[in-house]
Amino acid sequence: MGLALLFAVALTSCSKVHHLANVENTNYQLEESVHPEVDSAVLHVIAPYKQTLEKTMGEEIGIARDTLYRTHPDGSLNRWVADVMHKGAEEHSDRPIDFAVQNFYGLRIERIPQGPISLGLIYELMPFENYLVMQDIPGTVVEELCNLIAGYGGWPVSKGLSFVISDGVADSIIVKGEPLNVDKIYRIATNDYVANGGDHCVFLTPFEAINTGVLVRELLVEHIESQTRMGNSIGEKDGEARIIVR
Amino acid sequence: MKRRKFLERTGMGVGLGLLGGFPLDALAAGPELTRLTILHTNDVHSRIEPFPPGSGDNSGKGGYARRSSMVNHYRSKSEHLLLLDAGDILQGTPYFNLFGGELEFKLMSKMGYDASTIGNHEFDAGIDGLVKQWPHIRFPFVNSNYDFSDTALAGKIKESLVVEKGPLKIGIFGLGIELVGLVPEKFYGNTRYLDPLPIADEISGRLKRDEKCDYVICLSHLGYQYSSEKVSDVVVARNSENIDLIIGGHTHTYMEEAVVEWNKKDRPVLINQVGRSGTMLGKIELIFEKNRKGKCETCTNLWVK
Repeated sequence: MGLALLFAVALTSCSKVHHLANVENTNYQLEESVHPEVDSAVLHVIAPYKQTLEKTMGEEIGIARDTLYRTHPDGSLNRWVADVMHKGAEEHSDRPIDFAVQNFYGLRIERIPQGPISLGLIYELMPFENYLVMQDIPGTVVEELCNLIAGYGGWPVSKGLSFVISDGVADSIIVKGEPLNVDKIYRIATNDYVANGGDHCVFLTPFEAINTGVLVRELLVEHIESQTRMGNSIGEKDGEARIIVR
Repeated sequence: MKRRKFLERTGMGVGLGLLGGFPLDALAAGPELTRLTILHTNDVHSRIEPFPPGSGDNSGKGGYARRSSMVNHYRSKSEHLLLLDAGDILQGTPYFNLFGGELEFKLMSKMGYDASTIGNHEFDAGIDGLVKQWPHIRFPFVNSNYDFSDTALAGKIKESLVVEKGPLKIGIFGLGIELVGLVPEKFYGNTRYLDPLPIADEISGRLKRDEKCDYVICLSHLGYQYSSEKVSDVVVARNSENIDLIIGGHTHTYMEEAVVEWNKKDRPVLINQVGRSGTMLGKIELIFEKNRKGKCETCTNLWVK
């Protein structure tokens, strides 16, 4: 075999590469109308887990009389959760709680639909093992917190705090009916994720987080159960926004 | 983010370079062509079953059983298929609280996932919680910018992978988001986060040049794009030279179709992400032509800048 032939073989085989000749993309919705079939083998794997889950999580613990929504800058679900945290913290505090704050994406579902509430739904709302904590923070830090909340477009806040988001910062901050006093120490309730600096709340970390020992999820479940025992459903009475955008 | 224009081709609904415009005759005769289908998910968040009624637009969507059937459907139709996930497999329904990820990992193994990367919620039962699930995980995890050497995950996470599909060599690596301020320290322990940009450059270069990969995929849990300077898929794409596709997650971005960014060498990088909770499945179909370097008979000029 001549050198020239060897060279030709090398050219046609060894130096061949894969060129990307075409690309096609489709992002499908995963629903019955797009793909009607389901894999029964997968359902079979799920079945025993589902059975255990339904036994423990399927229990109906209360009723929502309206659908509660998690929305920006404020929403009925935002207010409900923060108010329950506020009330829960007061029971563990030797002094009044000024307000409660919950990080927005710490609530993992967008709504509690009107109707029966299962225990599992509250696990979906608050799947994290986050504890209810209290912190004593100066007014300057309250302002910093409100600005951070404004930057996020609004977080769940309880009765006791209201402000306006203006150009992405907090304005007209009112705590318990009074304009924010930067020299005052406020007692707030939040979850330990936020108090430990989660979601960029690093400015809260210098202040001791007094742990109530209560999981936020347990608190929500106990609140619903106690309302159910009293014959009440879950929902809002006034529904006035605490955070507004101007 | 401005979408770049794709070259004009016959319209077939949502899609990029659509096969409708591809010279299908070329598949029968002429140069050697290989077709690869990539299916991908992100941020499934323990959504084992479809969303129940009352979940708004999500009602009835998602669920592993329908997804598995859809994957099987494309497996039977495709010459070669890759099934990938971009992280946050865990957390979001009581299935995770009760079983710690066991069911998610069993199902993904059964479905034949080729790889996943580590999302921030993979840490939610702590490093030990994730390690405990290892007997159920029969697919590789890739991540190149978390240093796990001082944790129980040491040696369990691959820096990168080379998957051979027929004649094709596909390089896959993973990038994870900054953990401080996002994941409680007690969960990530001694995991060290490293700057993704130089690492992405190094690994993708190695996959292309040394490992001779035909296509390099980054499974990213950095997030699609931020208004700040924070590193994201867009930032990685623009600063890269050897990444062809970024399959993203974390920001729960619902993309109707994949987007194109231009890298340092002015070459296109495709980015795709399909929302959250498994309500969507991304599909990217590639056709490769084997020919001498610089010579391609069926290559369509896919994108113009």
